[in-house]
Amino acid sequence: MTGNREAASLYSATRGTPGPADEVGDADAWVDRLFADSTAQSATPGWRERLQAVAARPWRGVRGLASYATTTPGTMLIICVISTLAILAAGLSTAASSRDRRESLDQLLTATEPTNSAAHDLYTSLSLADVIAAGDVVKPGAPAEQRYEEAIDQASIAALDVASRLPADYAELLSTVYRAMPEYAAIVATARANLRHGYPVGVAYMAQASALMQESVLPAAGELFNATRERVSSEQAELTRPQWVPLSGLLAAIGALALGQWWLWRLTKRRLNRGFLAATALMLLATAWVGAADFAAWRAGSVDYHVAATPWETLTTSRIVAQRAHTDETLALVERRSLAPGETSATRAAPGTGAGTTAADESAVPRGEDFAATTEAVARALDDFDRAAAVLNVDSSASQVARVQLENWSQAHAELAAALSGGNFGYADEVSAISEVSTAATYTALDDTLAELISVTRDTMRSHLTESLRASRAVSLVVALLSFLAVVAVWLGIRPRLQEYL
Amino acid sequence: MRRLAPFALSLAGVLAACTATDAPAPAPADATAPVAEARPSGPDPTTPVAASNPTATDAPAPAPESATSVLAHPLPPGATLGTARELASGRERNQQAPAGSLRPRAGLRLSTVAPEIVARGYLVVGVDRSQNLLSYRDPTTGQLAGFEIDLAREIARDLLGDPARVEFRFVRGATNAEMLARGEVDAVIQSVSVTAPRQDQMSFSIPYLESSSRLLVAQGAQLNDLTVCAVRNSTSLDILAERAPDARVLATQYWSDCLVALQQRSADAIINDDAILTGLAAQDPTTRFVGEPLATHRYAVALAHPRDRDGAGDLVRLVNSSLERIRRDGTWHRLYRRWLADYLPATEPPAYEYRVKE
Repeated sequence: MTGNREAASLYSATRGTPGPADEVGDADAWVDRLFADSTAQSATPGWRERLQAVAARPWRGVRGLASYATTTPGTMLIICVISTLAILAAGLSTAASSRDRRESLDQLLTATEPTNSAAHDLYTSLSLADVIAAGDVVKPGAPAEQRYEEAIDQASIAALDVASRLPADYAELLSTVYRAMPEYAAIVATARANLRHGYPVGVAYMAQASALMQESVLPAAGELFNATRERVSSEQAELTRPQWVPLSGLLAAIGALALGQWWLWRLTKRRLNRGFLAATALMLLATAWVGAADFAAWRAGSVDYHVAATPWETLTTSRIVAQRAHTDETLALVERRSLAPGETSATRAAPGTGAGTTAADESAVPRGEDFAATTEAVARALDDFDRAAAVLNVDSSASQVARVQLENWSQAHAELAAALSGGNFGYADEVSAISEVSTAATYTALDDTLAELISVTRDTMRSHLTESLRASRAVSLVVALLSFLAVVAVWLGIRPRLQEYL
Repeated sequence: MRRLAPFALSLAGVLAACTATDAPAPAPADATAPVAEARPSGPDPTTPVAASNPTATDAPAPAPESATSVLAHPLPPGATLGTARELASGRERNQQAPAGSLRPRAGLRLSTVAPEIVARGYLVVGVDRSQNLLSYRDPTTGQLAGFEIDLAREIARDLLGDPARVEFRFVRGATNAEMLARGEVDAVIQSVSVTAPRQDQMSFSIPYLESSSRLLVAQGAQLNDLTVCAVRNSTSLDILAERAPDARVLATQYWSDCLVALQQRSADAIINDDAILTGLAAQDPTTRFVGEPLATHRYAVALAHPRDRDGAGDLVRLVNSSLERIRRDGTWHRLYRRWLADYLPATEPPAYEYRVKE
C-alpha cells in the first residue's frame, strides 16, 4: 500500500520534471527515475553505516575465500600451497643444516684437532727439555745444549700453535704454561752458567727449575691436552651422527605430497598426477642423497675414525707415561736414590712443606712407580696400533721396531735399578747416560718411534675426517635445488587440472 | 784468607734488629713480570751469573694477583716462609754438653764388627748433594769432590784397605737418623754437628772440623730487615729461633738452595757455620759476612745408634782410630790446606774427648 502511494506521489512529482528518457518518450522511463532517486536518497549514509561497511570487508573476503575453497579449484590450490610449503621447509632446512655441519667439520679439521695435537707436542717437548736439563747435571763437561734448545724451541712453537686457536675457557691454563717457560729457561741458563764456572750451586738451580716444570707447568699442559682431546672427540661424535630431524622432515614432505595425490584422486577421479609424481620422485631422490651422504660421513667420520682414534689415544697416553718414567730414572740418579716403588724423591718429600709441594701431586713425577706398568701401557698401545693398522691397511713395521726398543729400554732400566739400589753409582752413571745402551739412548730411540707412530695415526684420523667432509660435499646445494624443482613440478602438475576449471 | 767484614754490629744485635720491624720486604713486588738478568761474566772468572727476580717476601701479605702466585717467584723446591719460631724444630736447645765418643780398642777388625760391609766390598757414606768445598759433584769432572769426600776415602782406606772402596749417597739433615737406622748408609759425613739430643738417635765419632755460626748477607740487604734462610731442622735455625724468634725465615731443604734464594732475592741472609758459609760465599763474591761468630759447633762422622744396628759401637771405635791416624800423620792438614785454607784461618784439628764410662 505504501509502495503504491509512494509510486503515486512520485508519479505526480515526476510528471513535472523532465528526465532523460522523456526525450525518447519511453513509457517505462519513470522506473529508472524511481531507482535513481532511491539510491540518491541513500547516497549520504550515516557513520554507523560506514563503519559497518568497513568492518564487513575482510569478513566478506574470508567468506569469499572460504566459499572459494570449498570449490574444487580452490581445494587444489590449497593442496599445492601446502605441498610447496612442506617441500620448501624440509628442503631448505636440510640444506642449511648440512651446510652448517660441513662448516663445523671443517672447523674441527682446521682448528680444534690441530690444537689438540699441538697441546700434546707442548707437553712432550716440555717434559723432554726437563729430562735433558736435569740429566746434564750428572754428565761431566759440556751439557747437551743442542737437544735441550731443540726441545724448548719445539715447546715454544707448540705453545704458539695452541694459543692461536684456543677457545677462551682454557686461556688460563695456557697462560700458566706460557709465562713459566721463559722463567724456566732463565733458571736453567743460570744453572748452566754456574756449572760451567764449576759452582755446585748450579745443581740447586737445576732442582728449582725441575720442580717448577714438574709441579706447575706440566700439570697445566697435561690438563690442556686432556681438555682439547675431549673437545675433539665430542665434536667429532656430534658432527658425524646422521641427521635424523632433517631426514624426517623430508619424509614428512613426501608424505604431504602423497596425501595431496590421494586428495587429487578423490577430487578429479584421476589416479596419478604427473607433476606430483615428479615432485615425489625428486624428493625421494633428495632424501636418498642426504641419507647416503650422512651414512658415508658417519662411516668415515665415526666408525673408521674410531679405529684410528683408539691407538692414537693410547699411544699419546703411554708416551707421556714413558716420559715420566724416564724422568724418574734420571732424577733418581741425580739424587742418588733407588728406583724401588715408594722411594721418595728428596725434593718432594720434605715434611711440612705446605707451600713447597702443590696440590698437583698426582701429576708430579712418579716416585719409583712400577716400571712394569709403564712397559705394559706402551706394549698395549702398540697392540692397539697393530690392530688398527690391520683394519685400515697401514704399514705397521714401525711398531715392530718400537717393541724391540721397548725391550732394550727395559733392560737398561733394570741395570740402572740394580746399580742404584746397590749404591753402585759409578756404574749407574754409565748405564744411565754414557754407554750405547744407556737408558737415555734407548729411551730416546723409543720416544722417537712412538712420535712417528702417533703422527701416522693422527694422519689417518685426519684423513677419515676429511673423507667425511668430502662425502657431504654437494648435499646442501643438491637438496636445495631438488626442492625448488619439486615445487615447480607440483605447480606444473596442477596446471592442467586447474585449467579444466577456469 | 777471607777477611771479616768490618762492621760493628754484633750478630746478636743484627738478629735482634730483625724482629724490631715488620716492614714489607725491601725489594718491590713485581710478580707479573719475572725477568732474568744475566750479569756479564767479564774478565773475572768467579763472577756468578744470577737470575734476579724481585718478589714479595712478606709472608703475611698476599701475592698481588692470585693468577700469578705460582710464578710470582718460585721459591726453592720444598721451601716455606714463616717466622723463626714456627719453623724451628721447637726443641729446646739443649745446653747440656754432648758426651764424648768411644775410645778405639786394639784388635778390632771390620770383618768381625760389620761383616756385611766387607761382603759388599765398599762403604756406603751419606754426604751432602752440593755443599761447595765440603762435598759436591764437581761440574767439570762429574765426580764428587770436597773435604768430606776425601775424609770418607781416607776412612775407607783404613777400614777396607782401599780409598776407592766407598760409594756415596745423598742425604739431607732431616732424614739422617732414619737412613742410618735403616742401614741404607753406613756412615754420614754431612757437616752434622754433635749435640746431646742427636746423640740419642745416632752415635758420633770424634769431631773432624770445628765451625762457628755466622751470618752471610747479600749485597744491598737492609740489615735491620732481613729474611734469613736456613735449612729446616738445622741447629742454626734453632739458634736463630732462640735469639730472634720473630725473625722472618725461609726454611729450605739444602744449604745451596739458600744461596739460590739469596741470589733470587727471596732471602737476604743465610745463617750457618762458617765452614759451609765459606763454600757458599766462594760461589758469590757479592756476599759478605756480618757480625761476630756466635755458637761453635763440631762436626763428626755420624753412625747408627747401637740399638739400631749390631756392632755400631765397635764401628764407632774403628772410625775413631781411623780419624786419629788422619790427624797424626798430617792427612788432616793436607786436606784442610787443599779445601778450606783459602777461606778459613789456619787451625788445628778440633779437640776431642772420649767417654770415661762406656
